[in-house]
Amino acid sequence: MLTILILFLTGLCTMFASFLTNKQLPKYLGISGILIALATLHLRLGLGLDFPTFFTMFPLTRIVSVVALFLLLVIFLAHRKYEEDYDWSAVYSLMLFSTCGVILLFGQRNLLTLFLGIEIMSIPLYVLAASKRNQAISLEAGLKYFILGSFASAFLLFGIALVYGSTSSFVLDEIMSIQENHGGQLPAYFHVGYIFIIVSILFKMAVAPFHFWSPDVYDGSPTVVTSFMTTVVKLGSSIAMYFLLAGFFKSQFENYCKFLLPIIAFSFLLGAILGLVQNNIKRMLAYSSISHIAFVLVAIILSVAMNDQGVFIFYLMTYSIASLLVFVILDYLEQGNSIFLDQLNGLSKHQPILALALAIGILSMAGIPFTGGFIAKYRVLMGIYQLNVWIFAIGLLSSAIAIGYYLKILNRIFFHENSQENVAIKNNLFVGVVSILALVTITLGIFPELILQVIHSFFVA
Amino acid sequence: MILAKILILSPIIGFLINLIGGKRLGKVSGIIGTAAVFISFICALLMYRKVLSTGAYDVPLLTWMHISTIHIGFNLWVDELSTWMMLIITGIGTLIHLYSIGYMSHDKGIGRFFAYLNLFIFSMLMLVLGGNFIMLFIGWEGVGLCSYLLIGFWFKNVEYGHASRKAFIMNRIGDLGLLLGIFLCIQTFGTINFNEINSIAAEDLALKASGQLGLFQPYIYTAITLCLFIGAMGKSAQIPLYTWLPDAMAGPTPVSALIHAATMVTAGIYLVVRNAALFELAPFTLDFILVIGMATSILGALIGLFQNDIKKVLAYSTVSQLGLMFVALGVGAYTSAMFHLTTHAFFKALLFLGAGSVIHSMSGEQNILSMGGLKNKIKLTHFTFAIGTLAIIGAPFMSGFFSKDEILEKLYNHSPIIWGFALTSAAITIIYMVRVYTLTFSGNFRGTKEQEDHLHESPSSMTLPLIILAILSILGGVLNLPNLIGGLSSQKMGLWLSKINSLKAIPAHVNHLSHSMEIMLMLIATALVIVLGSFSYFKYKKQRLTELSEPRRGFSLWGEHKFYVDEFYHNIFVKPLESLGDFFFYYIEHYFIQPITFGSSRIAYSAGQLLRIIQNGNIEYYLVYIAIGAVLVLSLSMFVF
Amino acid sequence: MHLILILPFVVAIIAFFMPHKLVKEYSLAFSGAFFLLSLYVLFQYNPLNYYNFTYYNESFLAGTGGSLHLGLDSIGVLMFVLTNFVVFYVNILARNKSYTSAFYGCIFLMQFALIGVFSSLNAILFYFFWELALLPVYYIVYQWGSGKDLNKAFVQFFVYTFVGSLFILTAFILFAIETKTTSFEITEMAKNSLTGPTQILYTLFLVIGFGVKIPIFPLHSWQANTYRKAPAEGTILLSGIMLKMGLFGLIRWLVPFQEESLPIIQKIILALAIFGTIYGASIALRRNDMKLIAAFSSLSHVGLIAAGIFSYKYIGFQGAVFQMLVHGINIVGIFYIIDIIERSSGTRYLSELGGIASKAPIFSTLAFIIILGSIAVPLTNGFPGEFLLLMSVFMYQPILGAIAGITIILGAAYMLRVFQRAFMGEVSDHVSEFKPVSNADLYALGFIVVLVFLLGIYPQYVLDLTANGSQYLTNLLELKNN
Repeated sequence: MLTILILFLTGLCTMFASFLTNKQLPKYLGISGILIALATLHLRLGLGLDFPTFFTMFPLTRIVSVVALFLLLVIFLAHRKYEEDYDWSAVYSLMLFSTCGVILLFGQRNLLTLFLGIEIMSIPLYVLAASKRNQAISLEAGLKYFILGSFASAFLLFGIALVYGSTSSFVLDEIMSIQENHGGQLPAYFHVGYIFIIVSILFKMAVAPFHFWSPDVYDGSPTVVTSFMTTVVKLGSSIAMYFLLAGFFKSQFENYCKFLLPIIAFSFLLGAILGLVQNNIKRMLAYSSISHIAFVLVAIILSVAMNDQGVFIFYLMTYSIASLLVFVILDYLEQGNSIFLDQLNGLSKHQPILALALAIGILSMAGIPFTGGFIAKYRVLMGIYQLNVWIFAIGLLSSAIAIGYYLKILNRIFFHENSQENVAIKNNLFVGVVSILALVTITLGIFPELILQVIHSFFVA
Repeated sequence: MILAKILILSPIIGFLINLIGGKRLGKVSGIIGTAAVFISFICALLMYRKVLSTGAYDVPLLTWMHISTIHIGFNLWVDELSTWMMLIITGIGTLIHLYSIGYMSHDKGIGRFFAYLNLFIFSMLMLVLGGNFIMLFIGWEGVGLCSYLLIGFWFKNVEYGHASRKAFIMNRIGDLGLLLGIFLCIQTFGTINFNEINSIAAEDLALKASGQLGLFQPYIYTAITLCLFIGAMGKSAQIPLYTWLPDAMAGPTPVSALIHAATMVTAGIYLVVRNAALFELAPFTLDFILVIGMATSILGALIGLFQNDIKKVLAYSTVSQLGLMFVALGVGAYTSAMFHLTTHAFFKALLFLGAGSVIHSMSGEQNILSMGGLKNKIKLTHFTFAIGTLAIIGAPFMSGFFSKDEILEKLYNHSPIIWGFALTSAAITIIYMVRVYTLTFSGNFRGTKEQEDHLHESPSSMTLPLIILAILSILGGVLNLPNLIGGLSSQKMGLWLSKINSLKAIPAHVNHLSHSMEIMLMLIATALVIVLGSFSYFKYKKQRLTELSEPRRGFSLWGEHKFYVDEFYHNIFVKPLESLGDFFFYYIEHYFIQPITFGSSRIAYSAGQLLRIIQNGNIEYYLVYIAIGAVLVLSLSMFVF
Repeated sequence: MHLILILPFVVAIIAFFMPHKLVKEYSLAFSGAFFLLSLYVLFQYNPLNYYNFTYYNESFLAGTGGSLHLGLDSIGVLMFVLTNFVVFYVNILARNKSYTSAFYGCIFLMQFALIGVFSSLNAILFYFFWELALLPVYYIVYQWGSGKDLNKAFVQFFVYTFVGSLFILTAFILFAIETKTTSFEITEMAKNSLTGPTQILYTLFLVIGFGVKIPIFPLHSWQANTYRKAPAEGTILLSGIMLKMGLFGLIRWLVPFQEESLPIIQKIILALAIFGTIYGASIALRRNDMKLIAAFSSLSHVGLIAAGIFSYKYIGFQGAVFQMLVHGINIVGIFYIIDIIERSSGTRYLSELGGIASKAPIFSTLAFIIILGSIAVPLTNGFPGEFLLLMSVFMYQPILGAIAGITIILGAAYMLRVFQRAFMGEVSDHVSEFKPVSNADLYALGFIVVLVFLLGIYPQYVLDLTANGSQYLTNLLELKNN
């Protein structure tokens, strides 16, 4: 709770810091805020501000919020300078606000918290997406995201209403116990409501067929925002989904699988196949994130099934770190607002380190051994095999197809002559951050347990 | 022991010296090579005496490999048969080496030449001394390799290259048969050691003879022996694998004499004799051999009748003579075959060397049509060549007479019809050999002017071997005189050879021919020689170049073109195989293998293009899609609850 | 053991950051040292106990069932030596060209991964190294490759092999789950094995996965394209050692886990392999590009090896392992020769070559001997292996054996054709300014020639070494089949 508070305050500060002349100040404020938040997490300060029925600091919550904050930190540290009139202080503050929402989701016990979290998370995003005011595509992205998002929120509200109507409770534990004990008497629309809630979260996670916003929005919004969406926001929504499924409805588990599995299969294929035909890398990665999020969904189901959060936390962590790595680098390489394949040509010639890091990120997404992606995917697949062989096969197929477009990127990086003039990297900090991310990815691939253990020992145990 | 090792090693050392020395040695290389083989010859003689006194013995060298239970070692088995072959190989080998010193003196690659020759001698010794099939096979492929190298010795010439490759590949076909035979042996007997196999076979023979059913089914033996015989076909140029031998004449003449007349091509006969016991157990195979041999013998002779290249004629006569030997084997007359092998080695080597000398003096001319009347120009060569001719046509009391007569006798004993066929082939032999002789030496010279001026007798290093071989071809018959002439000292060689394991096992064929009958047969043969010999002599003596070289018609035209067998093979085997390869490469690869990858990727890609349509960027559509999605999910869940 | 594994890795990392001038000598020296080291290991090897030099550390790849479990069995140690041999030769060959230090880094990285592949006793670890070994070679082949449609070939190669690997992974997962094995240690896995359809699936998946790499007949489409476009070093790496990964994988991860023998599958695979043997050989008969011929010839050889393995016989395993070693050596020699020819005459097309023998007699002699080795003339190293393989196939099924035997005829046919066209005959225009072959190259080839004779005359040394490995496999099979 305190963490959220700190972030919120930092957000306010950074927002108002824009009145001052110092352009760098908001950045430093933001960073220090994040660090303080981490510190509080480490010291486990709570100020006694706990509302057990609304928000609790599960171990899970601590871990993922550390990850989220870390990601946010990286985003703050390693982004490109945009045009002069780009209002960074606003962007920072909005990111911080939305992170508050995310962390709220990490600890939610309650449908109201869920709604609050979702909204706090989303509304800044709408603005962020449109933050390049002078670019039509960015504005369009913002608008699309807003309209569709509100559509989804409507679903969410409706669902909550139905559930409350049937169980007369918002608290998930109570709902569960009611369902467990006398699910029989519950009216049918209870499940309808619950499914509506799930659908809205699926929308936020951008699972097919609720993914339509994601390619356009990813493509349209500034890359720094995109990187924020693919990492922190994905974390938030996935965790929300986990809480909705995990622990609750053990009895209904199979039934929910019955409609979740087709969705997953669909996303697997769609993400892989549509990615093949893209030349715009941001769109391509949007699609890849669809199939990845499908993996996450599977991982969640598995964690629910075998009561072990390890699998999907690991997956989320590796995926978000890898994609952050990729996006941060793309952010540097892009010209204008979006980046196409041929802009990567011959990267390895003039910027070997970047090229290598990018390659590692991509390989991790592709799930090649010695990167975290492999371990994550492998674990999930291992799980699905027991769950349902067909999904397993489709998952394999999708990652086989997906190789096609990851390969396109690698191919460009290494084996093409570079077409345009070289963009020399001055920013050492940036290179440092990137290489740290790359190292983390590889460490995840070789000593998978290590990092989680570290986090656990620092912030949980 | 040590003798055998020296025997084997000395040629290989010669080979190494010559190979490394190469051009630097120059003439010396010839002397080294010859010395190396001569040393082996001495060893062979000593070993002969040893075997004579103490009998056969085994010389283990080192282990090659163990296969689970089967132990395969390099061990030499010195017995009567291998000693006999050794003597022939090293003896004639020495002479031919000696001859080559003179013959190859003008060639730059003389060092290489002698290196290859020594290597050949080594492999051939391996072949005949090997105590088991693997050793034999090593030698077997070794000689094939050497013949490849020596046929293609003048590697600048593409034709020769083709000839050498043809030889090697045809041999390889035979070798595959042999290899399969070896596998069968391992599978059946669990060993590849000749003595063990022979003893098993002997046991089986005894059982079968005593009316019980033996250790193994007959068809097994048939399979094994057929496989082995395929190998023999390849090496010994029998139908259908004979076409490489005439082409092999591309090599230098001494090579033709050594490899393609005296030694290597007889390996097939050696193989059969070595495993005679097995063959005895497979009557079908024996008949098969008989037929093949007979056919080859006649076909070879027929083709020889129409050739104008002196070496080609000799080559075909070799084919035909080998056929005759196989016929002998086919009726179980193993020693007779060996006897003919020996005498044939003498006179055919003589003939080839003579021909070489002729070619040498004619400065490379090989076509007999442009020779003639050489008998006064190169007397010694003429004289020896004449002796050779007499020997091969089986003129009375020449070596060839006895060996051929013995075979014919055995054949008549088997069945008169076969005898008749054999006699026909012999008759044709007489005709074409006399033809060659006549066209070459008598009549008047038909060559160009400068050839005539250049005519000269060959150096003594070349004539000496001729003389020695001539003597051998005359007296060779003494080795194995028929009873009615030799009396007590008859059948020396037969007795000597019948000591080896494989022949010991075989019951002696009863000879129910009366002496009068034998004499009768001899007389017939002799009459044939006189009549046909004189006929063809006078036919070709007087002929002018014009009437000789007028285009042939009908049958003889066929004969001149070797009955188009080469073309036949080329169209039936070579072409289809090559076009099969092309088919694989251009069609299977392109339309089946590649699509496995590219096709599948294309499918995925086009699927992507298709799905792309729905992502059209219009928000109203998106809303609809999402609504539909929600409805779908709900309806799905309706089935659930 | 783990030191042997780590060393190349360290060297690789250093090589990456070396200045381009020094790296050549540096890597040559180190690869030579590694080769010697590997020989030392070979002589230290004690054939009596099954796994030597084992090392175990579970924190590696923890939580996935993977662990750093290393050890060399007698087959592995041979492959290990072969790896170092090939890498050494690649370095020797690279002397003549100018490569960046990344190239050498990749080579050592690959060596590291290969050693891992041949020594890992844990399925996941194996897969890990397997994939790792592929990456550097992709880079080498397509960074320094040439020819049109390079990218197309690259994508084909990468995707194809990657999909193959997925099959392998699937097979392992399947095994682990279906047998309720929690651990992927080979020692644990060998205890229990699959039955019925799952085993068929396991077999098929592994055969497909490894078959892509070997390659077994229909799965070889990447091979020719890649060989043609790759630089000589890449080709040597691929054909010399990468193919062996697949075969080794079959021996290590498929054969021991066969519950009841699968006659049908076995027959099908044998048939395919043998068909591939003939197929490759008959294609090689008429091609003009020497590299292409070499590619298809190795398709043919390797097919025979696979057939030998799948005849599930002691002699088959013995022959297969021996032939793996020998093929590794000879194919290196052959590509080395091709590269020399290409360097000194500027072409590798038979139609433009001829008469090298009169230009470079010693080189030709060495080349001829190596060719003899590859067409399995007795007393050269090619013979014992092919003898054993053919015999085991023959024992399994005489007809198949006879068909497979045809390859020794075809092999002679195409190899001698190459020799005749390139080395014999009149000197062609390209050859007329044939640059003299450097002594170093001659020595390199000379060493191969020595090996050709050594292994041909006394194969028993190697066979003794591998005997207990093969015996172990055979016993396992007999144990399970009866």
